[in-house]
Amino acid sequence: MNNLEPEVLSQVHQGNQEAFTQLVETYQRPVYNLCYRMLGDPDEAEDAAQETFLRVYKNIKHYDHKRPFSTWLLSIAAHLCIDQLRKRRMVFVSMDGTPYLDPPDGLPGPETSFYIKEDQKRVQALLKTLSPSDRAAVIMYYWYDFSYEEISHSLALTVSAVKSRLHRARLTMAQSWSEQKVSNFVPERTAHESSTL
Amino acid sequence: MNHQPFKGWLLSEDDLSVEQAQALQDHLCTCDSCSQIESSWKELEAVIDRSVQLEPASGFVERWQIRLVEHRNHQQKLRGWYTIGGTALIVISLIVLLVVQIWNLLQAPTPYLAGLFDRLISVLSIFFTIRNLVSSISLPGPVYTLAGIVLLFGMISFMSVFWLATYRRISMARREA
Repeated sequence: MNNLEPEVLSQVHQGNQEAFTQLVETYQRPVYNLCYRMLGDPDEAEDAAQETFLRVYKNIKHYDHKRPFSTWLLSIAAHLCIDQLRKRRMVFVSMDGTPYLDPPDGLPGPETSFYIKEDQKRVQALLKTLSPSDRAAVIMYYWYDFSYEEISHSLALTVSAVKSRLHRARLTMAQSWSEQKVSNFVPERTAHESSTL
Repeated sequence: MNHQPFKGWLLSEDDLSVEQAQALQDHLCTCDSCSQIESSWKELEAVIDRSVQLEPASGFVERWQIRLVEHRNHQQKLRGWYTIGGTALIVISLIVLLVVQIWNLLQAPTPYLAGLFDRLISVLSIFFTIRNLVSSISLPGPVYTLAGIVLLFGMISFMSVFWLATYRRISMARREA
């Protein structure tokens, strides 16, 4: 993840507008990615990412310089997404209709990218089966390489709680992955292969 | 088949002892369910490792800047409403007090007027006492003359306007910055 220069961060702390714009430019991608992984919808992810930066703007005075800025920023984004997920808890969201964004350019041929896209779609659907805070822990651990301590700090959990949540999430996801593979992965791939022949 | 404690060890990232690791391996050789979970997780982990970081639609920063401006305008409006609300509350309280006073006056005007008169006399006597005190110190004349009083009021008014203008200029400059 890109890191911001300490001078820029200190300017942001002093309320410098241009420095803040630079901050948004630097962190837009990781924040958006986290929001998208959490919420699974591009529009909601955009809105949550924008709101995250607004919260950072309002609370920059409370930022503790001893803590890495990216950890603080992403924990704000994670909390925001957790709140949002809890708000819509009662609303049923179909996993089949999960929209998935095309990954950035620079990936191998159309067939490979088709499989990558399908795999990513399935990963996104698996993430949706987890509770909001388990999902946040998984995303922070596997997508952002956060340590157990950083996750525990970000999500206000103990280290052992983080470990047990990650273990539970791994188990759930592995079980769902093998079930999914049996139910829809094979027919889809077969259909695709027969259509390309 | 009993999957415990193997299910706990299976996807754990904690280090297992040599005996535990061996027992887990033995269990995986005989248990299809646990072995399936392990291979699924390895597959899934590889997919996660391959996943790329998604990026927002272009123009994110510009959209954020627009949102920030909207937020500031909203905050300014909110502050305005709070000021109006606060002022309205004070005005309403004063009106209520006034109504209560007038109501009391209408109910029993004589003691009220007597009290008012008494207070007026007290104020006047305080005023005359202060005046006598000041005259004994013998300050220069302009304070007592009409022109002096007008001059004094004029100066106070000018200073107030000047102070307000300065304050406004400073706060405007701060807002622009």
